[in-house]
Amino acid sequence: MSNAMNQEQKTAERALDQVKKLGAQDAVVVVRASRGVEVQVRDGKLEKLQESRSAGMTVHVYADGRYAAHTTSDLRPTELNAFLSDAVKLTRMLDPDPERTLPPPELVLRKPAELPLSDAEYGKLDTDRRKKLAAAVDAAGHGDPRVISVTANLSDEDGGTVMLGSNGLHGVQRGTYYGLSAEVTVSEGDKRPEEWSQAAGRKLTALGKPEALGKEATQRALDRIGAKTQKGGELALVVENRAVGTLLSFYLQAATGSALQQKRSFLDGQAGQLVASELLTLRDDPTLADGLGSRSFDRDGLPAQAFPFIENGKLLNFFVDWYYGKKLGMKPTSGGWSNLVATPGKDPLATLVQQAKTGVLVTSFSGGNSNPLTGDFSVGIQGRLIVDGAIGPPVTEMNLTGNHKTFWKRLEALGNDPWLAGSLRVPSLRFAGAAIAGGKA
Amino acid sequence: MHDPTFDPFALDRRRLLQLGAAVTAGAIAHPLFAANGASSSGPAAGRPTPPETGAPFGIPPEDLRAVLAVAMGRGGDFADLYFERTRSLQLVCEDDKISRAATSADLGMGVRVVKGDTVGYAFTEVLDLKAMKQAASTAAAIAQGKPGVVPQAIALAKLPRFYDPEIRHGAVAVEAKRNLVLGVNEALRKKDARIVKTVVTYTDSDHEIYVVTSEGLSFHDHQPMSRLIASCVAEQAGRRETGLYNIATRKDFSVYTPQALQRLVSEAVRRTVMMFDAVTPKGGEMPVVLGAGPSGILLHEAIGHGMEADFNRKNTSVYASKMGKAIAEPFVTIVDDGTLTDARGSIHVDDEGSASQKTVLVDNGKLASYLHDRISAKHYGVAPTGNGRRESFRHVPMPRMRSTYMEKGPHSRDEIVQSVKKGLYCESFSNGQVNIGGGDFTFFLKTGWLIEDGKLTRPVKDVNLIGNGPEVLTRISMVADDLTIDEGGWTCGKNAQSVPVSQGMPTVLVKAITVGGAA
Repeated sequence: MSNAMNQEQKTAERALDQVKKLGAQDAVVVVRASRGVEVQVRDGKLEKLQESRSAGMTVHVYADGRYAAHTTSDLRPTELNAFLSDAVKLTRMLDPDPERTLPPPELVLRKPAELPLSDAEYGKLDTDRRKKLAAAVDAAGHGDPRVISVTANLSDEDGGTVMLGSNGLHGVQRGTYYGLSAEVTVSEGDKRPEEWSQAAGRKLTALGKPEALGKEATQRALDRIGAKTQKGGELALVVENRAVGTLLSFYLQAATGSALQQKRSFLDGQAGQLVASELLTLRDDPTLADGLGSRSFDRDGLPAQAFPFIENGKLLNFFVDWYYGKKLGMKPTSGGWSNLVATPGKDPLATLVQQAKTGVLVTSFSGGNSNPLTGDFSVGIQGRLIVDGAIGPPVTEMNLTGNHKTFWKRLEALGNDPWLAGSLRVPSLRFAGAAIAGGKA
Repeated sequence: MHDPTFDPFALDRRRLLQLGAAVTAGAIAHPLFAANGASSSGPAAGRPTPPETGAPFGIPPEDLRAVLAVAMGRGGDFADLYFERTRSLQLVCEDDKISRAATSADLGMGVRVVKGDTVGYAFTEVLDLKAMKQAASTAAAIAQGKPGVVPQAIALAKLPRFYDPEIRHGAVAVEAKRNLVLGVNEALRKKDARIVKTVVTYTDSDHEIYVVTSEGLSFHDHQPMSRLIASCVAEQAGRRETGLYNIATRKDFSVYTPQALQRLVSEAVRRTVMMFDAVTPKGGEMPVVLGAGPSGILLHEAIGHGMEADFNRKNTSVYASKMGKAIAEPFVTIVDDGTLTDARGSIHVDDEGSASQKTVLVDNGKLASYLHDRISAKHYGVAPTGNGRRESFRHVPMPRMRSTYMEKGPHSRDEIVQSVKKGLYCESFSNGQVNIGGGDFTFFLKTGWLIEDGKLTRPVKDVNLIGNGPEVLTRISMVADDLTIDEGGWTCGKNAQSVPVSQGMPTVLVKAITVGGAA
């Protein structure tokens, strides 16, 4: 990608002109470009070095009341003309949908208001330094004789998007991303427990010390040795920050305008109601400087703005885009979350465990699914038993089953440790009794 | 949603999803019910385009050799070029009209250079010589030595025929696809008065690949794919439930016959309205009967991933020390098969130029073979098994499954169900996941039944099942003679790469699995 996205900007302008000339009444053109590198080191050896450079365009065509989106990675001018011509032709073959319109000019971003999401140091990171970072993670993971294999991975990307619309929409956003992770497998007879650790951020400095990641993953893997199923029952539950995102993303499936309008949401009719414990406050904030989900405009080109999703347990807003907003007669918020930020509690994880007295600490979920219409969910859990307020032996092969309508009301405490390696910034959580199924043990 | 980094290994890796389970769902057309399944307009079933002439992707042999020369220029052991072109179409019917359509066109070439266990990789989206050489030079940088051998000539291999490489979905009129989707939608609406919302999704793709290796071989294939998903929401006495059914195939458009569409509609509706009677089972360990077809997900998670040789080469799989050993009853034979006619998981050649085959993972109860790509085959000193697959030219290949299923056994379905006093009968699944090293896996039941005194009594609400791969295999105590390959579409995720797969199963009894449920 070019420095100020000038080239992408020109490509988008030309495409928008062309689509209008081809007879589309309205259109939005999105041009993306990115470069990135992935370095993987396993057990002291470079395993993979991949360089990527990629560009592409999506054209949203609104012609004669009909709508379709068309994507291509072939941006050569001659190919692009043929692509745009086919795009308009195909769109015209569909059926009119009166709700498919562009937001009016006054609602969209008309002058780029870029958030500073790029690391100025990105260009200075060379392959040798990348290899050294990954190698440091790998080396720190080794040391214990029970370690079978350590894989360290550094992925980074520098990318940007230009979005132009016939409604005056003009957005530009660039950003960098770094992710550094370790995966460690240790020996337990025939079994080989594995665990991971990860840091991620917009800036290289957000990754912290690579050694800490390697050590953490190994310790977590060693902690899994001896894991077995336990007798289930109605047990207190503490969910570690790194695992909370799974539960929350299940919940969020029901929080979109699309789910509401399609009658696929257990949250239908719950606006303004208490849907969770009063301790829970979740706010969507696309403007965080270090947020992995940050953006200056959303997929409709609406300018970024923070809004409350759940406040003191009350459901205040859904994630409604322009199209479903029209169908529902609701004001659009944004079709998808950006950074979902929970108001944290005061206590560390250890205190939540202590408060739980007896129960299960979930360190990761496995598989499982959630029915956004009924709110029923069921998911595999791995973690530790909580015995007398302390962390006990590792458990596995157990399931947590519940319904979101009641489950979140049993939230009793939030930790002070929001997870920052993702865009769901939620701390560890403690719940009163939850249905946990296990084996005969 | 936007969450690029969440839980990289535990979630992004090895995740199996049934199409439509996580996405919105999918469709039939009245013209189709009325007459023949083939479209009323346009070339009958995506067939005809004249045979292509000239070099695949228009790249002359001297250019291929020039790019390979750069790739091998620093002493790699092996290099390959992977050219790929994909066109795809999606039509979505929501609120009784086509509310969304999308097309995509993708073209590019990836260069891989292998030196020992180390892989260098780069790709280009522009197929001119300069850009291709640049990518080759980047990939070659992992090696530091004298230039390797570059082939004098590049031969084009003849491929077998497990599906029709002449199919071009792009040649079928959009009108026919639109009618198909709207027709299914209407049929869903008419099927049951309780249906209040429907979503019908049709997707097709024409996928062309061309693999050229530094050994002087090349492989050119077209891999057609389409799928149709019908999903609905029903309402009864103020309660709502949802369900879906889908068909995924490498066949041409004529696959959507009136019979197929009626099956799609009936099953989607049945799976929705049955949920009004569903109960949450009491959680815990119990006997589980896996119904024929979609239950193949158990094999995919419990053993398939664990047999992918990259994990074993790294000694990180729970199966790494079990080769040749008995791990299940003698009537249990499990295969991964790339050769099933028209199956979503079938391939003529893998994405690094190895022939597809039927690979036996478990032979009459004994662990028989891993699933290999080139690198692992070399490591173990065996022939590749044709499992080297990749999501696209933007990714490196690795061992992946194709169609994974269990061969039929000596028992009957009725005999199996009748043998269970109290347990669970599984009919369909939506997704699963496994931890390779520990062997713990989960699979998510979408529709199933309580078994009481040898009879299916009440439907159960969707719950998660969890087990340990090697342990569950030893607990398979009966296998029926009714092997069914699931016609639904499955997509397997591993290391953030998705590939299409199939799976199948005869009815099977597992003595005990932990079932999620009420306390």
